[in-house]
Amino acid sequence: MLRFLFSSFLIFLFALQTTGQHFKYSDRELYLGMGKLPLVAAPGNQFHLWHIERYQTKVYEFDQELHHLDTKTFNHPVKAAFRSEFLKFHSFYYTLMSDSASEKIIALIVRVVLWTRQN
Amino acid sequence: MDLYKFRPYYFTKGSSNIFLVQKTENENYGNTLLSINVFDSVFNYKDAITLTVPYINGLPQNLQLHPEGDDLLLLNNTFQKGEVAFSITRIDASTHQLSTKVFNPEGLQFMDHKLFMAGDELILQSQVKENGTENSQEKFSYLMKLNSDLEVIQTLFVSAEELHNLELSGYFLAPVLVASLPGKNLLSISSGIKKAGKGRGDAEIYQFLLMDSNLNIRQSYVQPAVKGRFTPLLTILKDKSSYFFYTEESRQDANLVHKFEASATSGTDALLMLTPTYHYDLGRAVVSGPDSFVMPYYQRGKVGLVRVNL
Repeated sequence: MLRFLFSSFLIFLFALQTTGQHFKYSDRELYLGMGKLPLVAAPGNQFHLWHIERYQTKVYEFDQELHHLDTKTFNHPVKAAFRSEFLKFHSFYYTLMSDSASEKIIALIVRVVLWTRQN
Repeated sequence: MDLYKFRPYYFTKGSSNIFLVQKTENENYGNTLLSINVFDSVFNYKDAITLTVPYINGLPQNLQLHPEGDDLLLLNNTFQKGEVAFSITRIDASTHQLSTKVFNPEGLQFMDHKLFMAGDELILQSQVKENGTENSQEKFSYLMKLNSDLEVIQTLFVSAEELHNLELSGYFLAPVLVASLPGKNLLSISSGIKKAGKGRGDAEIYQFLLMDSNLNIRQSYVQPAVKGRFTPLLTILKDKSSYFFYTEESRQDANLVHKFEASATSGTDALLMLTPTYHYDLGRAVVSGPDSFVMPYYQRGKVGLVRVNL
């Protein structure tokens, strides 16, 4: 009887955690050792998580259910004090990685259209 | 010219144009230099526009640039007949033509603004004070509805007395957000900071004003806010409600996410029951459908994504 009550209590706690306050959520835990990463709602109902580093940029692609689809890697250096901005158009978006450490503003521009997984 | 070496800049976009905006403070000449480079949607360089905006009373202004179609709207203060007046300048990116409208309604000085595009019309939500009352602490909310030619169609002066709400009289109201509601209605949110308060950390309120498209007030209510934390970072409109999401710091590297639902008659605040030890990055959240959003979270070097359904 005690075991049954304890199990019921655990189930109740789980239900409160996932459906309480009139909302539901699901999550995916991903990678280790990263800072704050920009997220973009991409064409094709995808989500792109950008991990921009000094010499390498990785883009993690997810579907609506947050399933990991693919990871794209660019080996293009950006300066240490870069800033990133995203400009969204209807069917594509730009990722601008720029810096103004010198007199000029130098921007690395990536145009992102719908990416599909290569099987 | 003696220009600051630090030159903040940002990219923004119109319907098809992309703008690179640089702002340079020029103290010796008492003005701000705005340099706008224009690109088409495939980043072909088109043109450059340069503007200078004079300081007001020896100080830089809080300039705002808003894309509207493929033009830009510059919001700033100017002098008209010796008084500080508010002006909106439309910058035509293709012809470089500038058209400026100066507003000085009822001798008000415009201090802080939010601009909202409602179809072809613009709604300006401002914090104002009376001109010539430099030492006065009285500040009010003022709303203007403008057509595409920047002609004033409607105005609304919001004060505690006019709303018959004495609770508001002890607060300064500053613009936070204007949003569309279903049925062409509008919602204006202002934050109220206590007049006699000591600044940051004082209890605050939020004033919600529901209006029809002609700025007629349908409903007004006041909601106490979590101290200084209510900055809506995400808005979702669904059915007859607007949902605003904001965060509250709980402890180092962790925060709590609140959902505020504003309906036609009331507002309700709810804490989302997410993991209390995670830091949720609501500022980077993206809307993922009519009733859900996805945001990153962090915890001890781990990065995760969470999808929240309303």
